[in-house]
Amino acid sequence: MRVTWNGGTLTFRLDAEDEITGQAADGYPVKLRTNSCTVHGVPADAHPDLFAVAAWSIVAPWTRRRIVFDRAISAELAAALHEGWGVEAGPVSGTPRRTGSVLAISYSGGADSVAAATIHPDAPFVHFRRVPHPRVPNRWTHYRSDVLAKLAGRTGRELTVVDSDLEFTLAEPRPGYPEHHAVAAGALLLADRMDLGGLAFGYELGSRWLGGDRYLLRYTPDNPMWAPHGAWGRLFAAAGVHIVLPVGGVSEAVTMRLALESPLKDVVRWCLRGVDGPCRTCGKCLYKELIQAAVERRPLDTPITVKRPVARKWQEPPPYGGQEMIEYGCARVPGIEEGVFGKAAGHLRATEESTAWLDRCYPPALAEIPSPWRDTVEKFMIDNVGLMTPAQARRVEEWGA
Amino acid sequence: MMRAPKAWMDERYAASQELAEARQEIEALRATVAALQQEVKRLAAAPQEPCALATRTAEALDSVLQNEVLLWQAVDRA
Repeated sequence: MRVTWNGGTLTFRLDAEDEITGQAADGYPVKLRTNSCTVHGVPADAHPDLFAVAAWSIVAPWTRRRIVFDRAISAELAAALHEGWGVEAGPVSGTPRRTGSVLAISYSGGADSVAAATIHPDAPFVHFRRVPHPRVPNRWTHYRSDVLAKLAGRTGRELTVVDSDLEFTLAEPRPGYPEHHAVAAGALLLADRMDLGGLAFGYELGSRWLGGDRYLLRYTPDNPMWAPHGAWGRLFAAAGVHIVLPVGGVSEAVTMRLALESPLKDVVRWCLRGVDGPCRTCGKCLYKELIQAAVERRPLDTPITVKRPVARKWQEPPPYGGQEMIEYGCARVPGIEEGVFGKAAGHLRATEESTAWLDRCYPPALAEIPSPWRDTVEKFMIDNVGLMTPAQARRVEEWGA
Repeated sequence: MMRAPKAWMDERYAASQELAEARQEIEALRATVAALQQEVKRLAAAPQEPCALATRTAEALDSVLQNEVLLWQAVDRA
């Protein structure tokens, strides 16, 4: 793989051993669509290691053995790439970037990042906004990145919106981040200007510890995406931007509660399609509605019926991605036996007692927060959430076993 | 003497004429309804056509861009 930055435009060429179908860090196969993209508003004088990590977040799935950057990277960064992925990276020269002092939040506007933002009330936001790619026809116009950016602008926080078409480098499964970390490409390139030492993401207990979403669906202390000692954690640290997961120890029930109680509650939006409000008809709206109904202890309020395609997976037996939250919801939502989640509830047979651990914070998640920000998160969790008992923590550690 | 049968004949003739015309009209209507049914059937099936066409075009476009990447890879290897 050879990468070239021209301003904020990245182009890359595959080496002989590289292929169109690669693999993201979570093992998911991803197919390349095109080999160029742009991150807008990028300072030309960012540290070469920042350009390298931003590029790597886009090209990593398709790189097999080596990567040649257009500017020399530090030996430390080359070592992180070699230890994490087994790739030879170069050319090498110069000194690594000095870690900054500011924590920024990679802010999507969803409940999880709003919860992270609530913990760090003074942290500036960096918001990624998808813009069309000049060479790829946009067939996904229902994705309203403009609406989400507008909502981010109404938070009153110091905000940098980074426009990028980098998601269109991905052909399959659909346009999206080639690696989950590509959402941070803009924040990385702005790290010198913002004096960043850490970047906070809204990844919660399920993503960090339970192998959630399209990952392993079991306890993953060595999660390669989000563990500080994982490949990506070490790479970001080598570039002086530590990955920080303020809500890494709590479930989506807790982030939902924190978001709904937050000063930002009026601008929370997890739906990517709705304009004047959430669309209420997509799969994500249905999933989040279950969690919200459980937190608010009320029946499910959704127009989605069992027959709708988005409800189909809940008619099948488990395992499900985010299953801990389905259990949590099924144990708490009145009348769950009737309707979309009735079948799932019958399979899972969860109770309030069996899901009580999801209302507390998993202590090892606090221990891995970098020291400049650990005390803040720890105090917040003790005051507002409470820590898991050893027996509850074991529920995390036996997940999916 | 002839007036009565003539009137009867006229009446009968007009009636049968009307009947034939009515029958014709019904036939025409039946044909129109059948044609409409065909049209509805065709229209009901039609949305898949443009959809399939759009999907095929999109797939073709995707592989154009992918082929370009592969061509550069081949150029660099040579």
